[in-house]
Amino acid sequence: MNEKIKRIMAKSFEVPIETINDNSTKDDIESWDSLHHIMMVVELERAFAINIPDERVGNMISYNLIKSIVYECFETHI
Amino acid sequence: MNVLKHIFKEKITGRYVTLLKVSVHDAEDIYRWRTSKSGEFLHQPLNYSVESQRKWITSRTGEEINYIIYRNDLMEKVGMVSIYEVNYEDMVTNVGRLILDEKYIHNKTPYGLESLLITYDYAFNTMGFRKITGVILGSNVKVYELQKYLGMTQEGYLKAHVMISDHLEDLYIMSLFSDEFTGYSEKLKALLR
Repeated sequence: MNEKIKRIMAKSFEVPIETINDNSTKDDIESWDSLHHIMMVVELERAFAINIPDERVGNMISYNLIKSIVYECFETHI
Repeated sequence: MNVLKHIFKEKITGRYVTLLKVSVHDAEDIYRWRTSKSGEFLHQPLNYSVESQRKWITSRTGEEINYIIYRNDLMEKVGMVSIYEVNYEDMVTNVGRLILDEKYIHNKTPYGLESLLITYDYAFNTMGFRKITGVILGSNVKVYELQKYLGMTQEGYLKAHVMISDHLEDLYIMSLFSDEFTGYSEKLKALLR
C-alpha cells in the first residue's frame, strides 16, 4: 500500500518514483501545486476506492500525512 | 423568463487574488500568455498579434466580462479568466478562457484555482446564473479532472472538433448547476491553505 501511494504521488506530480521517499513534503516537489494535488487526491480515491473528505484534502502536505489519511479513510471504508 | 440584464462587477476579491476587468493596456500580457506554453490548450486566432488582441478587448460587449487575475500580495498579473457567452434568458453562462502566466503554472499558492472558484461563486451567488458551462480540450486531462473535482459533470464529448496547433482536438462539454456548486467554502478550506 505504501509503495502504491508513492507511485500515485510520483505519477500525479510527474516526477520519478525515486523522488518520493518517506520524508517527502510539498516543499520538496516543485510541481506540487493545487492542480497536481487534486490529481493525486482523485487518483488515490480511485486506486483505494475511498472518499477523502474535503476537510482532510488540505492536510495532505507530505508523504507521511498522505499515508495516514489514506489508511484512515481505507479503514473507515471497510 | 424575463430577466433584466445585470452589470458585471469590475472587481472581485478573493483571499489570494483579485480579478479586475481587462483593459486595452492588458493586451501585451494576454498576447504573451497566449503565445507561451500556457496557451497550448487555447484556440489561437489566425494572424494573432498584440494589435489584434487590443482590438478584441475593445470590441467586447456587455455580454461578457474578461478579468485579469492579480495576486493580492504584490498586485502582479497572474493571468486571465472570463465569463462569456452569457444567456440572460435562460440564466446560463460560460466560464473559461483561464490562462496563467508561465511562472504561475506550478505555484504553491493556488492562484488559478481560487480565480475559478471566485468566478463561479460570483456567477452563481451574485449574478444569479442557474448553470455554468465550459469546454475543455480532450488532451487537457488535468483541467478536466480539476473541474470534475469542483463539481462539474461531463454533458458531452465532441470528437475532432477544434483545430489546435495544426491538429484536431476533441472537446469535453462540461456543466455545473448552481445547486451542485459546493462552493468557495468547503473546497477552499481544503485546498486554499
